[in-house]
Amino acid sequence: MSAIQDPAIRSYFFGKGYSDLRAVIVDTWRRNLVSAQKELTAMRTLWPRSWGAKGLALVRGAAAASVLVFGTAFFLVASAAHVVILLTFFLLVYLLFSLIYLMERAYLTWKGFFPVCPDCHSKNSLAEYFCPKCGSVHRRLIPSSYGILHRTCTCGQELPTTFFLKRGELPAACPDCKRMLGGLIEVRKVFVPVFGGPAVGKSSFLLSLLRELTEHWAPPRGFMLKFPDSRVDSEVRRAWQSLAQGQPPAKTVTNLPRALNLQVDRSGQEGRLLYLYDPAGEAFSETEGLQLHTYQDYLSGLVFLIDPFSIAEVREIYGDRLPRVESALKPSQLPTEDAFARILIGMEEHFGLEKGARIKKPVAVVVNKIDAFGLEQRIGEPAVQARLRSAPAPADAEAIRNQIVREQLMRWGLSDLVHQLETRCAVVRYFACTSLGRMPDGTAQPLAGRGVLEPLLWILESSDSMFKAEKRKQAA
Amino acid sequence: MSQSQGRQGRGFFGWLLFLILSGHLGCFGIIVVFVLLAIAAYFAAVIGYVVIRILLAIGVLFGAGITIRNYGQALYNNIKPERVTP
Repeated sequence: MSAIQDPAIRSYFFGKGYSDLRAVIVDTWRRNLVSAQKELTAMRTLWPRSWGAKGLALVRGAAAASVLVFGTAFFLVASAAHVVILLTFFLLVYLLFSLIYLMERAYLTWKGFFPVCPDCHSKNSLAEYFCPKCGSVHRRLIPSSYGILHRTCTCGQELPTTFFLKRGELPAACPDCKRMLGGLIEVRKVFVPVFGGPAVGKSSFLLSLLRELTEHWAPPRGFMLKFPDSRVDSEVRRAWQSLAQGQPPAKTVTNLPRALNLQVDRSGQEGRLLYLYDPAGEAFSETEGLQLHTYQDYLSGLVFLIDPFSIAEVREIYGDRLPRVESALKPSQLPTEDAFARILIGMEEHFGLEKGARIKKPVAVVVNKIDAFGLEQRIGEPAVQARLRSAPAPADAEAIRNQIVREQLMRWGLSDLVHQLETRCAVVRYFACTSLGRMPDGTAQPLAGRGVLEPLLWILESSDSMFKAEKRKQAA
Repeated sequence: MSQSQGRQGRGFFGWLLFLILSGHLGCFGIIVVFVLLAIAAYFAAVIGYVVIRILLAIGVLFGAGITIRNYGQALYNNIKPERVTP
């Protein structure tokens, strides 16, 4: 099945069996010649003696002839039987490992469990696995002539050859860039890109979201979250530390990769690899397009971040106060409609979305920076709670939030955008958040986001069975 | 050579020749003797043939045994169904 020579011990029926067969044939033939020679010598010695000895000489002579004639015939038949047995086992083993390999491929394809390198973004059907004992690299650790369910490394270590036997827990590297793939490799992947124009606060949103997720949401629910890449882990923690000291992440996150892998584990459940991506706000570069394309199969939903201060109507409303806080607020210069148009172009170019077709995955439209000018009171959680209290009948907070933000966007003159969003996206929900919690003012008061988690959770609950079940559990 | 020594050295076929030539057996006797000799020769040939066939068969079986033993020993010494390194 594979031309690649791995440092493993090959099955007997795929090599050694045939050299053994050759050795048996050679050895048998040599032994027969020696035996025939011995019998002929005995015959020559006995013949000149008595009649009895002559009789024995006849026996030995006949034995010599028999060894040569019968021996040749017998060894031909026996060797043929040997070959048949070897080939039968060869075929049996071949069929078995092919069957298991195909089953595994089908299962992995169905589940979408493929290693995707967080560094070079290449998607491969198989990672390069390392023997945990000697560190030898096994490039094709699959059911093969090296073993059906397990193979033995040349160092003697037994390695699982299929996903079903937890091959994904072995140390592995990307076959293209050779970078180590930390964490879960053959698991379900959840890809959520965060789109938005430049300076809408995507990086702050992601950092606050990750913090909320790992520190507040996951622990009480029994989820274990970790960054498989230790470099990312330390960078993210450094950025969190800066936020805790009141410093916005503008400088700190420059070292952060825009793709963040978060491993989600829960005892007794299949893990997930949550891939959060923050594409450049300016435009989709060719490279980014290719990277996004890699994750096309795993797309679970999109977050579309809106900076309300990029909306002309809002700028007009707060025109008198805006210049004073402009440096802290950093309003995005790209109009929201243009940002959405770019998302659509990106989706069409890199996610296989047909022109004019609807995005079927859930789209969370998130109005950011609501901490400024009391926007939180109008579209944030206080507004939702106020509307809930005044509702004549018990209402759903999520639906109220959706309604409030949608109405506000329309009031801000974004009716066309709302219409376009609801035309081009099959499932849309509106949210409001503040990714820093307050405007950075140079003080050491911690910056902590609010409302950043809900959009992601909504996407996850809409697209992933594990999160869906968790939501049902919490509701019950 | 004494008379007893000459009789002793005559042997079976010597005596037979002596009796034929001396006329002791007569014509009928000679015929009977030759018929008996022919029958005896036939049986002797058959017995010889059978003995040789038996000896040869034993030899062939012995050779077959040697062959099977050789094959068994070759199998035992060369078949190592453990896995080997590439």
